[in-house]
Amino acid sequence: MVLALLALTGCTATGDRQMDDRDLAVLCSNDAEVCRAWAGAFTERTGYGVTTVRLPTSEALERIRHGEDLPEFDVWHGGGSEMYVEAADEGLLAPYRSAQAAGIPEDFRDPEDRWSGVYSSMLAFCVAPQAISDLGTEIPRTWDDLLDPALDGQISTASPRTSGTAYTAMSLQIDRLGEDAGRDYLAGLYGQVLQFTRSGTAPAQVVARGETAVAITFAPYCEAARAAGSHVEVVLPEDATSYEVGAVAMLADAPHPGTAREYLDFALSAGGQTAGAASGIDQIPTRSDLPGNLAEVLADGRYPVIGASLAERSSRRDSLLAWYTEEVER
Amino acid sequence: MSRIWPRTAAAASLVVAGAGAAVVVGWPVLRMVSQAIAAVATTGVVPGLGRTLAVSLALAVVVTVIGTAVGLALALTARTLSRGWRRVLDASIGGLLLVPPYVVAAAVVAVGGRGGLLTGILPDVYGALGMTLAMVVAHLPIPYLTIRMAWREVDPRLVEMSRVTGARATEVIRLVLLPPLRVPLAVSTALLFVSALSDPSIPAVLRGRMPTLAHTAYIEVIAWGGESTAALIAVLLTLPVLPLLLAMWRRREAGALVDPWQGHGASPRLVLPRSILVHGCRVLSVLVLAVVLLLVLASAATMIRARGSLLTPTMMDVIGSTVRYALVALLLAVPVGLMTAWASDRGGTRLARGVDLLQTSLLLMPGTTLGIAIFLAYGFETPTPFGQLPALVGGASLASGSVALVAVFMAPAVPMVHLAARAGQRRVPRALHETAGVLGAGRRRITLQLVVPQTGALVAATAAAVVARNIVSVSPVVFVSTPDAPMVASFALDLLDRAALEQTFALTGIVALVVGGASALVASASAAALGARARSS
Repeated sequence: MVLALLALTGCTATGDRQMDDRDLAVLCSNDAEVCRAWAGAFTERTGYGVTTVRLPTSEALERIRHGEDLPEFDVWHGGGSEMYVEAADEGLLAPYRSAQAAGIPEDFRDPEDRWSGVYSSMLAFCVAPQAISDLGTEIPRTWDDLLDPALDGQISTASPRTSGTAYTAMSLQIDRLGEDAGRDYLAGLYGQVLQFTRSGTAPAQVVARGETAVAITFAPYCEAARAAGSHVEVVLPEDATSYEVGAVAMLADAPHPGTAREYLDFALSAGGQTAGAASGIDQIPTRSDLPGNLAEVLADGRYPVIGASLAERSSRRDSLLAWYTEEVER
Repeated sequence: MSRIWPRTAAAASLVVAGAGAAVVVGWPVLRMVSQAIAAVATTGVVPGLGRTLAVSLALAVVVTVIGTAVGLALALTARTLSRGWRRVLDASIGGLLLVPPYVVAAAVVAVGGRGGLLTGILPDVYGALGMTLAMVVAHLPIPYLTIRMAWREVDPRLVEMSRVTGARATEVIRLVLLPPLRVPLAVSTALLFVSALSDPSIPAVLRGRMPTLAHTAYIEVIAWGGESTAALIAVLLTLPVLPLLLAMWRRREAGALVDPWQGHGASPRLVLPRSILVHGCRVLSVLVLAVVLLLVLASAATMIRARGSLLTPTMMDVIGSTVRYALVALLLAVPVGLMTAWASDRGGTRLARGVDLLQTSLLLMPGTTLGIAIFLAYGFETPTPFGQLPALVGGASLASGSVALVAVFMAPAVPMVHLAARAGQRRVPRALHETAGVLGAGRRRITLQLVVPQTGALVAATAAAVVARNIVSVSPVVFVSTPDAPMVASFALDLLDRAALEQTFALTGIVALVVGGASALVASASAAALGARARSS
């Protein structure tokens, strides 16, 4: 009776329309507008409907883990590849060798074809120069600058428990300083945070709103806020930065494997990698045939990128998050 | 046969309703409790949770003390005002019922946040100060309306007599006004404490670096993987309700929450002797109204200053979707609630008391506890004797997670309808009922011409309240929907995570209009229908 009533009234918890049998269920770990742009472009190209559930990367991984016996989603799109490495190791992803994968350098995809990197972003500070000036301090240029007492309560970042962006920043400190010094630094940095957001895309908007002076986020989210008229600037840390390789994968036991493969073909293609730009958030493509691609950006030496391997970053995630939960969050 | 049938039907109705309650609430709560016990048994005390518990308790105590004192002062002021001004005060404070707590929190940010109207003048609102302010304002209708209702019964002649005989204001308050408040005040204090303790949405906006129990549970649920901690917190949040239920069970009469609807008109103003206390209450009332006005103005100013479009098609979808869910839950809850009320009436005093208490327990259970319980029970595939039950929580689960959403909307709706119907039943004098029967009126005629005109308005008003509550409530819905699901509360919390205050105000402004309009429509339609029925009979 409940189901009949729900159908009669058109109730759906995933969007404004009911899911069709042929519809693809995509778990999307990116900004809402980017997710919408990807889904819209795929529907336009193939005619298939897409039901998108948007969750930050870490939440998405937990959701997939818990849904192992009940495949909810066909495809996971967006979010740092560290989480995809974990998911692949746990057998949660299905291998698929797309013809489009040839356009992506091997460094940015899984050797067993369980996931592929489709975009990238550089970790940056998103600063409000006027707020910094009002605080009587300088614009932070290095990670240590963020420990400036004038910035106490003036930093916004997401919780690494829910956000892949925040985990990238957390892991970078361990790469930069080593395990113990890295945790000491993180304890100091987190003491400066006003409050942790749930989503990694949120801190740039918190700064744009004027609630804090600095956000730790990926550069495109700050650039999008600036393009929308906010007085914010992107500052790339001079001492070290890191980047995410946002990935896409088909989930093991996907209810619609055929359509999921078509979605992967689309997401890996040049059209798929540039579709997100329609949202105003311009991420770096991974395909080597696209201008300004990730390999080119890394090769030109503009960014002081450091970082352990994906596997290493992925393997220390559980212990770092346990430390964060016990020492910082509660 | 004719005597046995109603009892059999009543028993069958209660069995069916009980089975439904067991599936929606009983089993989830059992699972939650067992998971909490297992968590403590295997890992001991969750690290850091002691500090969170202490912070939450301290915050809830402070909010309860301030909220109760302010509620008392406002209610006393209202009682001494003329009818017109009293209505203004009632509308101003009662209207806060239509404002979700997170909107109050957002308004506090709009006033005292770093980009707010009074930045630099006020101390930092992130942390204890902002949360206390927001919680007191958001939950103020609880003590205010409870005390107002209780003081409607006070005979103004008693006050007048005391005044004429030279009693001071403090004596009038102590001897005349406070005695009838003993039980209502205890109930409102408990409700206020539980509301402050179990609300995750104000801390979501204003916590700064102060962890609270309800928000920690929210994070454990949305981040998944922390189910045991969430279960433990849900159990802790339920504990303060237990003494209240015990007190209700021990009372000979039905509890204050199920007191009969008196339906008196507004009584005349009380004229109290001049005193600093009464004057102070008036000043405090003006101050509170000024704070509420400031929050409203700051919200409006934030919307006016907004760049770009305030309303998006997604927002309208979100509102439409939430209203549809609330209506579906209502359609299912009304017959169930009426059925249990009818069965209780037929089943004897002890049974009726038991059912009333069970329904009251459902109503008093914190939404956070219910949401976590349903998430834990139905968030994953469940083995049953008939096969695997698919997950019911989450965007891509069975029926897109709709079943869980309807269940959490129904859980408080059924007891509201039941208690309203029971209160309505008590409004029909037994003598009248029996006389009609002796005079040969059939059961159908008695129901249609005696019971419905007496109870219909109350049930209709409750139905409107059910819809309103489900649309503006945060818990339990945020625990059984994805953060950007098309539900008002989930969507608004996602907006506030990104400090999108202006869009939150626009969204909830429309919601308030929809809820207020729908409530007025239901109330006037029911009044018209009942009036027509009364004329025809």
